[in-house]
Amino acid sequence: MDKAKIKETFLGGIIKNNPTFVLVLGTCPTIAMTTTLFQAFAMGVATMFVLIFSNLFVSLLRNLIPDKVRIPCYIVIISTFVIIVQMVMQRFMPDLYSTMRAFIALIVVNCIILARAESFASCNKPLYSVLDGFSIGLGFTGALCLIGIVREFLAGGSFAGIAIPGFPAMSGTGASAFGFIVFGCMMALFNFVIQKLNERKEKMKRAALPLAEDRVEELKEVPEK
Amino acid sequence: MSDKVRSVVQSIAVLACIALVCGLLLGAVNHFTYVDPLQTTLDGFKSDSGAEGEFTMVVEDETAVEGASGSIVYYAVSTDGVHAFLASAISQYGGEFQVYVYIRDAKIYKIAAGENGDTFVDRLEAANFYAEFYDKDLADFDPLSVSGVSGATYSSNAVKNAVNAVVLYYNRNVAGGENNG
Repeated sequence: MDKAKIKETFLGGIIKNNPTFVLVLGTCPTIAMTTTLFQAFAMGVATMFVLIFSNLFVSLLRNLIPDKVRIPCYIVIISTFVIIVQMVMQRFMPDLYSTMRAFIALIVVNCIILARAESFASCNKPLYSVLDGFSIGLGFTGALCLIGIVREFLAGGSFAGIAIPGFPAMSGTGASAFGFIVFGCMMALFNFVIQKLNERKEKMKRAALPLAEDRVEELKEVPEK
Repeated sequence: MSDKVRSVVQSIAVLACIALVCGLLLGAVNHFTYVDPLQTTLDGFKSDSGAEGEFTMVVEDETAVEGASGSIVYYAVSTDGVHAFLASAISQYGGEFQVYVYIRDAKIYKIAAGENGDTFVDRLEAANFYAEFYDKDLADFDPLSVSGVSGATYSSNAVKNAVNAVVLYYNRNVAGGENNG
């Protein structure tokens, strides 16, 4: 196992290849399911489950699936796990299922899942593919939850369903159009922070370089015994 | 067998095998998560209606209502006189749209959206749309005359058609004296 690749795969889905804020994939559920934190979290977890298992199956079957029928094969695999999510939610969380029903079914055509199956799972080993699914799912869930927190706070004056005293609901902020504005602002903030962190990292690298050169010069100056 | 034919056969075989395995997997999961729709509906009727008595199912097979574009999926009566309907109509947006309708003393007192594929259903509740059907004398009430909600027109129409089916069914079969338990 390559530890560097594991680290890169894990962090990649959350930061560098964040599906919502960086790749801007899965915008439909991002806007529709982020009116409350709970819904956003549930949608994120459902997508993560489908991502992990579809990536695992695609990776396991990558040498068997002919190129010509790879997309239909991926769709069959993805839809199987989406139906499993539907069955489990319908059985154990009927209230949540009734509010999210239409969007759970739409996970089948979520471009994040098909994109990861096509670009990662189909050319990587099962372990890395599962890790990629988990990481991308975590990045998606995190992004949805962040947007959900802001939208629920503005539109409902609450956090995770608990009303915050002194913060009344702002009418109109629950609309999808405002959801896009929140989404855009969060995306800009996320990318700004990542850019600043990268610049700082680069700066530190550059600052460390002359020191190393000085050290080489110092070592050269030491007289041989 | 030429390479092209072999490739096609191989593709079909792989796709069929994957579909078979996925089907078996779904079957296994379904075994553990199966929900009896009849019992679930009765439980739903009891918890949603606020009725204290037990419900008895009257209609368990989907029944078309003459003159209405909706149909009755389930109809149950409680021992304390609540008539609970699960009606269905087609929404032009998301396909089948189910609606729960509760009647007491020949008046609708509660409506709730059931399973549906529409995405703007929340707007109906926000616009207080269901209240437009409440406390009307069902003998003279035409649910299709209720104004729809702007921005959720297809969902409004589906609800109106479903409620219309319930009202027609109720007036013909229940208020007429056949099942007025």
